[in-house]
Amino acid sequence: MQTQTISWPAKDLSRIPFAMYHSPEVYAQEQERIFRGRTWNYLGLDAELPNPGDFITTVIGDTPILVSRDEGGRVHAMVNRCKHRGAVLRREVCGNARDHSCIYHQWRYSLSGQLESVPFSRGMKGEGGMPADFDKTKIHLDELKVEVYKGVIFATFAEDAEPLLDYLDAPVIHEIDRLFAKPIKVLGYQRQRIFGNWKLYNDNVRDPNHGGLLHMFHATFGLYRLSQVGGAKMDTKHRHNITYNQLGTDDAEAQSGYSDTKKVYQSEYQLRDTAMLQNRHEFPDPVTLMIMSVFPGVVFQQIANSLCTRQIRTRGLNELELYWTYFGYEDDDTSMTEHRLLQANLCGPGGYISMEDGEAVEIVHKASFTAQQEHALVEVGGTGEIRDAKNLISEVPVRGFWSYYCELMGIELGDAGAAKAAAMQAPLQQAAA
Amino acid sequence: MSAVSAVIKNAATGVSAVATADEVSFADYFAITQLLSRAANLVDANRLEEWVECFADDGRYYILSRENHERGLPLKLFQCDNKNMMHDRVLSLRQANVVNIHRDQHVTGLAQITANPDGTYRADSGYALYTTDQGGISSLFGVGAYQDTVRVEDGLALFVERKVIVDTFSIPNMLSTPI
Repeated sequence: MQTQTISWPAKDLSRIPFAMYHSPEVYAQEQERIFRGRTWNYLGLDAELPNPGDFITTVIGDTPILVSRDEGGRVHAMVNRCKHRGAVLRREVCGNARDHSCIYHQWRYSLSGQLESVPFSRGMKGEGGMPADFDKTKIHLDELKVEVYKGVIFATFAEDAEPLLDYLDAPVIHEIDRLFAKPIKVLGYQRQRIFGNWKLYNDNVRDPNHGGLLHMFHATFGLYRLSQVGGAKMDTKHRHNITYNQLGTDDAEAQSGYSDTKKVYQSEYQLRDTAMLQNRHEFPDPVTLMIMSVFPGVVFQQIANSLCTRQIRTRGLNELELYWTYFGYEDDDTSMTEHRLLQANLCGPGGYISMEDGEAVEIVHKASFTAQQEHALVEVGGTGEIRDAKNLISEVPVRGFWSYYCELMGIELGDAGAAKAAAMQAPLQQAAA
Repeated sequence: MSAVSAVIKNAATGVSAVATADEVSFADYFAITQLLSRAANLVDANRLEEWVECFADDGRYYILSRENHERGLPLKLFQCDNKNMMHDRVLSLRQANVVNIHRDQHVTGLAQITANPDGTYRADSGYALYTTDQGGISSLFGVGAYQDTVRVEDGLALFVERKVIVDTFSIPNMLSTPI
């Protein structure tokens, strides 16, 4: 295969090569260096598998993962692949079991992934079966390192990964503490397939600027406008981002920023039923919208009282699935549960304020395919140093994502990288001419 | 007309009932099937304001994933608890949301219609929904089932509740228009 050269002309990551969304080689490296590398990956919530024997199946990148709670209550994460022939071990989305058996040849593993039995391992009448030196105690499903924080389950493939709390860092820990301050209950799931590269969605959620420009439900009916009090804050490595804002903090003058757009703020349109837009104050702060992206593949959401996680599941180079898990709290009364369910109309694949994200990712993926020597321009909110913003007119956290991404991928930035890429490209261009 | 009766087991609910010609008269059956086809055709024609009028004043409209439905989880994809919420969905689509430019085409199956004790009818039918882009390329958006509660008054059938159970619950791109 022809090695593709990709240039990174801007050290501050204000130029993102479009080729990064389309290169099969890059995709294969990401699976190895990011998803199976030194990152912590979201797997699910404790509340999804509360009892011994409960399990869920999920993925980290493309790798199938089995999350299983053992008899003692401990959560294990294993590659969901039988050690015999590599078959998918657990095919169900979730369930409860005493052990995990492969349907192909009935190799049976404990809830913690230890091989317990192989049928006819001693053969029959001295014939067949496993060799005499076969030792089932040495066979264990490929196990990941798991840490559960406030009921949120994370895992890493890297034995030497930094501790989860160091990886998450103070701002993210603060938001997890806030969202998971009390026991939760799962209200349901949504799934959305987007035909674009997985990183385009990571860009999308780190770009508060699009919130009030693409998702015009906000601006039209009044939930989130760029003119409101809000901002974006990151961890020290800028790999994660928290976008937040507060309702009702702008006025007519601030809204005049919309005058250059085709869809200006249209206060003449009123919803007939505004129950969905009401925020029931439940957190010890005035924040009504909080979208937190944790590298590399999960988003935590509070939109008024609608709470969920969104797991970004890679499905090859050109497709991702968003797996939305909505929750409320165990002590919610019926009225609060109904309110959260109604507010779920705001989000997900059919959400009033999120449905456009699929389309945005798809049109970038589609048109950038033919511009792989060109670069996306990332300058909203400023260039140079990557820093927090105290307003929503910023896409600086996109650069934060890419800075950590490049660190993990071993990508050299700026002039040196550009010069190297140019030198390697020159002969190719001559050959093409 | 002689009374025609048969033991009918509703395939979706598993409930057996003795249905007679009196319980589902031909006139009501006809009105209900007209409603079902009108609802699909109005969505396909992007006449969503008229689609809302397929519902009774106390009507409700829900889209939910098969996954949640079978696990007893209450979360929906669309939740319109009343007709105002349906109007709002349409208003937002017209004025605010940016949708993928497409055309819908429903192919609906024959409905099984049974009488409810309260005088309404239950109608179960399947659908396939294709989506076509501006270049004339069609793809399957999804398949699923309608579980409808219908009221017939003065020969006019209206939805009291339309529940769409989506088998293709990993939604391609976005769910903008009603199903």
